[in-house]
Amino acid sequence: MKLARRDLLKLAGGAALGTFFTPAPWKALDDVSIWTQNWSWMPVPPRGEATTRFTTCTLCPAGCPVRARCIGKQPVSLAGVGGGLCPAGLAGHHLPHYPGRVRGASHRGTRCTMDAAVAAVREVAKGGRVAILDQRPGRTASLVYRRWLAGQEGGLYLTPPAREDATLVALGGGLAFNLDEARTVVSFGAPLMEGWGSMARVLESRPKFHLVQIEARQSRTASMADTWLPAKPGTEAALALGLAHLLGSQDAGRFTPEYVERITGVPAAQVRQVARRMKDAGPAVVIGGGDPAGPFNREEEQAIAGLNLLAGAMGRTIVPRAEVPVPAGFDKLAAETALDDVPDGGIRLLIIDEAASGNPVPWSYLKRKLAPGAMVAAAACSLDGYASHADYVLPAPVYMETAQDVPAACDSPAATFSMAPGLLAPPEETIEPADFVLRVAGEGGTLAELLKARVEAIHKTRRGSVVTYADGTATPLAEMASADDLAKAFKAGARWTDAGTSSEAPGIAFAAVDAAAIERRAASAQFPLALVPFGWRGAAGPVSPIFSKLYQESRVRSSEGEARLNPATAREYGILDGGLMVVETSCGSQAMTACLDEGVMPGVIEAAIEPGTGVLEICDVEDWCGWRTAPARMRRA
Amino acid sequence: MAAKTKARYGMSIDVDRCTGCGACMVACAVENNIPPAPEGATDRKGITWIRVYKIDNGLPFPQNRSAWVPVLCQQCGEHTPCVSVCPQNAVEVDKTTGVVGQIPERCLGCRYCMAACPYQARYFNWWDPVWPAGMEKTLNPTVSPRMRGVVEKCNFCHGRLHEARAKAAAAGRREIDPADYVPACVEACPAQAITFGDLDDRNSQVARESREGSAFHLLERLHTGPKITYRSGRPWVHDALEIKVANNKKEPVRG
Repeated sequence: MKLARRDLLKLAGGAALGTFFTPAPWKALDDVSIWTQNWSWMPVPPRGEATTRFTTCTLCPAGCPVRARCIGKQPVSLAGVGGGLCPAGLAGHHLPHYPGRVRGASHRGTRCTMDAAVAAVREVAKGGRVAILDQRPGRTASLVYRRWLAGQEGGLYLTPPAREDATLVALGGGLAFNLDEARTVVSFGAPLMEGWGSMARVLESRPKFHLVQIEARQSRTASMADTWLPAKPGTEAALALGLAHLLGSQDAGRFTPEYVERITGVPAAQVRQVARRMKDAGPAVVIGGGDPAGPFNREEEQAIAGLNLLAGAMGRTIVPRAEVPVPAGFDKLAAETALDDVPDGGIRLLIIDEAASGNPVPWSYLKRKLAPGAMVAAAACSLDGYASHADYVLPAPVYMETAQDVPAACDSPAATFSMAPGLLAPPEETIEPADFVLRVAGEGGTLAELLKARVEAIHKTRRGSVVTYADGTATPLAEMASADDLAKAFKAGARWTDAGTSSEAPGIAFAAVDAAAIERRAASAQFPLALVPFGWRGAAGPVSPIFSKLYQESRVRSSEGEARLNPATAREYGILDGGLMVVETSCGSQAMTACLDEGVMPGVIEAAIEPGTGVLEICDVEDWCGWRTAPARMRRA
Repeated sequence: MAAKTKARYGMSIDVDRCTGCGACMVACAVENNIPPAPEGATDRKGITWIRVYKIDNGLPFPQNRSAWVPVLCQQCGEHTPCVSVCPQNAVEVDKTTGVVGQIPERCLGCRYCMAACPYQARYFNWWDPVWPAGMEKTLNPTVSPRMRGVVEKCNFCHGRLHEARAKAAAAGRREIDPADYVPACVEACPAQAITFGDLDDRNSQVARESREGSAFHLLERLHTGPKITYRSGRPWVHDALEIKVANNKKEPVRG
């Protein structure tokens, strides 16, 4: 047989055609698909033995127990113990890799040594009028600050004004909420369902109480409340006095429900209904703090706190709480100073502990309190917050990098103490803010040593019990042979809870409420437009880059530079949904994107406080340290 | 009696309990190695296997009320639209669990499945997965990152299912302990709004909740047999959610 060129071509053509009827091309396609999933730049997850470790979350005051799944020493996922975690807590193990992390000490943008920073701060501190802003009061680190400030001339210990326990502070302190006993909870803007106290405890008690939310915004808490009273921004205290009037207060004579309706826009019948519920439907409690957007002023807080006295909350839904034992050497501590009590220009050296996130204070307000040429030193893990304004920036460790103690949340009826052991090694140049202050003070010792001493002090009490996170077993403290055993339990994940609570009412004599001041403010709060900032617990500090899921990729949280408006308000100003607009206040202006929402009160511009938006900086900060609402104008951009 | 080896996993979501915090979205991203969004990503191109939508009753202020609803792959049980359109057999229904699985290694990125999915619960990788420097160390070793050009979606945390099976096998059991297999979103939810379990087990909490009077399925008229059940005592939630899903602006096919 003779092979011609034509036969060869036929064979090649037939073979090519036949290949399509074999698995080969499909296998090749499949393999190509697999190979192209495995390029060298594709990240490879770590391999190793999986272990479980326990810690306590320090990212907000709730102090949730956390189970960390680790590969080697590296946590790869976090989960709550006996309950869920908030988004920040779930991604807390990402924070050591936060892209904007401060890597070394710096002086006005130029790297410097830690020794140089300590020496410079110490030098300025000699001149007195030193202040420390502690974003998370109640920790052992807070004791370090207060002890040092007590020995300084004009030492001021400052805490963020928008605190979750603001109502308890207004009642004199040493108290805690007991929501488990409450059948009616009246909340003045407290974000109970979003992040307040311990979420697990709030959600556990939630079926037992009727929630009345008093707030201009339809926040998530307002949406989930049994009753939502949308009082006009800035008139909440008038509503509090209206309730006080119905509960029999002499201070609130003029605040009849009809008068309150005129000021606040809340129907008189609804005010009566809430007052009736507070009187007749079992123990009630009134909560007025914790809105990350800003604090109430002192009169407002007193009016809100005073309602608790009228509603008979003391000893039932607000209970006295003992302090966690303090080791020797902390006898003389500086008292807390309210920021509005500090005279303008009254601070020469301001140290800010920004490592623990708290509710933000506008920088413009803090700046007002600084003397000309004052020094600011911020211990921070990123430059997103106050650190961007500081003369000295000190790199602080983040959650999981050093041992921290976690004080009890404001809704814990008993004193508690737990620890967040350092699961990861911090970068070399970081310094714990308390250790920095100890170095400045020249006192020696470290926070770690003080934590050890505090555990010993707790052990000495022989009171209460220790619950381990791993298996939930409770061991009476009296059965723990030594403080070392207790320290080991804390390191492995445990919480000490003091024994019982006192049901004895503390007998607080409440200061008379300045009804006239509240009336004046409420009357002046009838703005044509009001800018109402809002925020989320913990979102003022650094958050995991994975939060893009919440902001950028789903918009379940308002993104940067977004203003929410009622469609009627937008129509009036010719603003379209998604259109650009400019919001102006007496402090400045900000370009924002309009997002129309029927849930927004007409005449109100809601804007999220997020790092980078500057919304807080255009809020008009009043003399009493308030920025919950600001008169505003807007126009199409 | 032979141990039960088949199950039909499903979820029940209590809309009235959901606070819209987004913990489920974050937990899902952490568990399944879904990267943070690149700069150009929007809500149309982002990857959120479970996405919380805000809906409202459409009334003016102050009667307006909002609710938050997590929407994920509905794990269709009948006429699964994504399975029937995939030319690559990259979507499969596991007969032993009822879970609709996505096999990225087979996926060619044609996105027919995205166009077919009425719930808009499938996501395309428009970018290569990139984590900030050092964050690769925090990836979950039981799930491989997917590359640009493939579709992905919720698979009820199949890594956790494999771990539960391995644990059962190590203990000499054929059947997994229900406590060992809980998807990340269920575990994370602080409000305990999501229940997970075997729908074929009539006594399981999820099966009981799915039979409640307030329970409904998304786009029920399509008869896709979803295994995700929503519950709400507020009558407007059902209609508002259907409208939200039907009008979803997520980028399905166009580049």
